[in-house]
Amino acid sequence: MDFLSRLPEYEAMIKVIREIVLTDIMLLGQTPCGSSKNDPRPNSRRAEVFLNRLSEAQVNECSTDSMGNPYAVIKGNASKNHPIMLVAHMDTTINTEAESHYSVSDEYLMGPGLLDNSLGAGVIMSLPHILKMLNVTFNEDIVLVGLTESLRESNLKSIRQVLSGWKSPIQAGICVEGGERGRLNYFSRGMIRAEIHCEIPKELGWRDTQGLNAMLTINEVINSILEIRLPLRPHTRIVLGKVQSGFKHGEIPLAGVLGFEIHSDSDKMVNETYEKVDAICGNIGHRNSAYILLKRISNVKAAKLTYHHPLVKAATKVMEVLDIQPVYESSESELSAFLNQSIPAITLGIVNGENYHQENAKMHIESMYKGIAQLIGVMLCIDRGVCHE
Amino acid sequence: MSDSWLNRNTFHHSRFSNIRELVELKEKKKLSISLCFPTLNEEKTIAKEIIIMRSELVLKYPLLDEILVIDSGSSDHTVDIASEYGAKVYVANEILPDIEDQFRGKGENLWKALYEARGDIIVYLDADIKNIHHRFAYGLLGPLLMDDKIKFSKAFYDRPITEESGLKRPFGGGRVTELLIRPLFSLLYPELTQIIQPLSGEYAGYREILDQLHFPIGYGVETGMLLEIYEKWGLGVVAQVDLDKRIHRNQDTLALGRMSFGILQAFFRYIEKQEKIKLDTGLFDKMLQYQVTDQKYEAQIFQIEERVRPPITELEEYVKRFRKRKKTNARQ
Repeated sequence: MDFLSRLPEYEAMIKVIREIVLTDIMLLGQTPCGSSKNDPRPNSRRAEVFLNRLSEAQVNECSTDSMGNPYAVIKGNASKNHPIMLVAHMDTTINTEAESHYSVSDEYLMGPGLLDNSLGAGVIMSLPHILKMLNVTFNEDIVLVGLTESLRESNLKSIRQVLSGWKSPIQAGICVEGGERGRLNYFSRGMIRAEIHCEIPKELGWRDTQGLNAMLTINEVINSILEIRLPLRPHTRIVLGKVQSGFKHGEIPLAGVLGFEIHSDSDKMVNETYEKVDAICGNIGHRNSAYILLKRISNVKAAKLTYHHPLVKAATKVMEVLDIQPVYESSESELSAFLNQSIPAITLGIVNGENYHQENAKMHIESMYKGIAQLIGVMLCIDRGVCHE
Repeated sequence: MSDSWLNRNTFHHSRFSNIRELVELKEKKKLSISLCFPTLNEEKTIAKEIIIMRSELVLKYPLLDEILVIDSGSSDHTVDIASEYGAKVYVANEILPDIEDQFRGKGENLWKALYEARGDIIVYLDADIKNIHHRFAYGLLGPLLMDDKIKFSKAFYDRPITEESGLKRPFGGGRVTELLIRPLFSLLYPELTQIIQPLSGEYAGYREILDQLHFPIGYGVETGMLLEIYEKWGLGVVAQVDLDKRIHRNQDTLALGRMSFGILQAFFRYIEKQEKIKLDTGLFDKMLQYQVTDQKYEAQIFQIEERVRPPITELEEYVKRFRKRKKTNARQ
């Protein structure tokens, strides 16, 4: 794989057109999530930006699928119609309905939703320019996709639609995430993401100001969840991720929400654990005369490549060449959709960032060049047939 | 007064969004274009402005030949950041160091930019635009490249003509425009009231026009430029372009009061020179504003001197540097 030796050179060359990449990231990230005037579908404003930018770059084929996911195809030199697909979700955990404004210093780019994931989508939008400047071509078609609905209740709807609707067999997938550079996700644990909604009937809340408090009830639920015995094999865990309740310091809250995920190497364990949580909700709700509703937000089936899969080995090699320390983790995101369809895929991060999922998320600009070189290195490995070894 | 100019010379930026076509026109006409940002402590926004312009109008489409920052002596990191992103950065006081007086103000920076910039066309953009987009530059350049009669283009940010069903709706400029400038124009230069935002800080023009203008150093620069262009060449050489929304720092009423003072200085000077009015007395150069401190009313005195740079063609150094350029013809 001689081309690997050129990757450090690419890193330096990408810096020359950093403005193009930063502009794509900003123009996408500053666009509100939400529907455009012409298209009522979710996130269609960002989809328009994604499509327009790639169209301006004169990519061979630009369109949207039936769900409104924009995509573009860079035609390969000797395509056998086994494309390499790059995807990035365009929705954010900070759902900005209003226009936001990114800011740039000499070292950092900052703004809401930057790392998750206007950065990933922006890099995909810039790829035609980057590849042209590097004079890198591929034998196979490269498909660039922006996903409009991935997060929360969307439950990876977009990627499932894209994969089910794509007519030719996909050679491999790369999920592009803003950060953290060095991540190399090649497996997805089984996962259920759920919320527990607790509501105290109002008249009871007034009557018993000591006991019937939604926050205390949620606390009781948490304590009971923590008592669930979870096996080490298959490795299973419950992540309590967020909790919301209350308005004022001196007022008893009558409603609250607990958000959590169950992860396991085994789908069976995920479901069994979910049922245990459901039973806990029933018991505590009954005991406290509270409405406790367990609501499933999304779920993902366990799937993985082996650690020795050629794609994982090749990505590791690329990172070594670029002096990036790989971190092997699971990812319960778009990756799982690829893997569940037996399409080899990995997730890569592009930059080193700070303040993830916050309004003031920021990326270290200098770290981006290596992150993009890494992405191109992996694309070249796939194009040279690494997934067929 | 006919509003034919308003309908004929008012455009929306989207009309010029085919940047490739603009580049072809620029090359066909053998023109070069400079973009200039006058700055004073703009570290929060300057990088973004340079990055987007460089990406879209230098790297992707060679519409701009250079990006300049003319700084008034920022105490923050404006200069370092602008250099980092590839702009040619100049400190205003170091340009033409041998001329007698050195001033500090936006007008000074714009005037000195004419000396450092190499373009046949110069685009001036304020450096505090939060929602910067390359339309701010190509929108202003469109009329200059596509219509040989147009020599100066000015931005506005409302949508004045129609949006739905062809219905007209009210439009206008900011507070200073509507409370000060438009009444003054209505009284003395009704034709100029068609300029929707005469104070907008974004404009572009051919060097052959700009280098024949006086440049008030302070707040009066935009008004002064418009009045003089109108006098020398008429409104026919001017276009105005709707650039949609512009988000920038908002100023409080007291700051706008000082701005109005500076504009009035420039305006009175101009109309007196034009013999439209005769003042029997000189004008004071101090703006008085009042505040309450510790239960006491206190005057705040702001010295706002009216300084005006002459047309830069009167400067020998400039003529030497740009001697091959020819002056534009009189009123068209």
